[in-house]
Amino acid sequence: MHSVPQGRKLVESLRSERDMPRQLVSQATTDLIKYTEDHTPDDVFVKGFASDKLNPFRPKSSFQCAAL
Amino acid sequence: MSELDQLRQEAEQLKSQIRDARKAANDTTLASVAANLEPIGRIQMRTRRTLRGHLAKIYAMHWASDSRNLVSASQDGKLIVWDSYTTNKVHAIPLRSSWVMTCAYAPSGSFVACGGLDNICSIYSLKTREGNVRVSRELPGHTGYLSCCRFLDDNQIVTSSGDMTCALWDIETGQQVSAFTGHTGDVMSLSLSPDFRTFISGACDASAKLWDIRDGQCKQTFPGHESDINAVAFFPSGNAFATGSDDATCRLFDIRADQELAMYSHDNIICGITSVAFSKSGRLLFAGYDDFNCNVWDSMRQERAGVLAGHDNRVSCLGVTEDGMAVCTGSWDSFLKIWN
Repeated sequence: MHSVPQGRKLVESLRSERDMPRQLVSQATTDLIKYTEDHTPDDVFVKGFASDKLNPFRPKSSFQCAAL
Repeated sequence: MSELDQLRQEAEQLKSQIRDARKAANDTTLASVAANLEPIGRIQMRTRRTLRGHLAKIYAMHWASDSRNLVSASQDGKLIVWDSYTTNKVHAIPLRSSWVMTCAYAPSGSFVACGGLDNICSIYSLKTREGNVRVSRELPGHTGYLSCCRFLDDNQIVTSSGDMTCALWDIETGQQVSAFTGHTGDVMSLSLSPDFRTFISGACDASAKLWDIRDGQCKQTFPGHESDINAVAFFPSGNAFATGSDDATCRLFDIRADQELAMYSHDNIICGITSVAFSKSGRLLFAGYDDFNCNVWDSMRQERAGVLAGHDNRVSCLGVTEDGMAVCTGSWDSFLKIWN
């Protein structure tokens, strides 16, 4: 805080930060866990791909050609 | 007492009251609430593509919204737009300044932006009538290096800078619409909320700040880290965010509880984190480290679930696609790798 105008702005900002309503950590953590559980079925890093074909980056070698 | 001394005293009192209010909301820990969650098992991901072409350290990368193209920036003085499915280079854009530190892809796919030690955010049009790529706007105004930039849309971009501020720009007019001031150290990184109404900044003052994009105000400040914050990323729900720091830890902060919920660290991790990103469900947190690795953390159980090893130098940047199908890591070894 180097100047009065800067100080006033900081104090005003801190007042708003102090006055903001806070959720309990118990509720916040429950919500985060619920979000991960609801969306994990679609998370390919956790669940993997149901089939290699669904992986847009599937190994190029899985494009198979038959030599006739 | 001078007015300045009074204000200093009041500021300290308010900070103490904020600490108390946070403590009052701190009725449990994520560790205890997540204790019964099923572990996700070892995450084993493979390199599916290696993007070769840069001739020097890669400093930044950003996926396009199509989850297929991406842009990377290197101190070889080039931005390269890649088709990650084929590894083809769609565009190789020579930069006016080679000291680039950040790059971004517009959601529409029509523009990319970059900037660095030139203090300027340069916007490049990818879809000109002539078919070439050219600078469509330069945004001077920051008095320090450009550390990060992210498009809201084709006409608005948010930047963060070594001059300790962030800014919202109108690209058409080239003017700063809002300046976000309050950090007391270089701002290193920013992350837009999923609804584009707010963003988080991380700075060398060891704090992260939540800003309202429309009114320019700092809504919340999150202390906790013990050194520079290099990276920030929103949790997919928009109600939390992760940070990565030179203090060798990543942390999870909740916006509605207004405090730190978790730390991701280990005694044998002693180097800084350069980049962080969540998987689509938020359950995995990817973090790039100075020791050449990328660790994959179970964000809820706070355990290391896997490692992406394959780079021969620092992992400087990483990003997860919008469709959640792949993660890209970029390194000082000049390569980008795509993993899933």
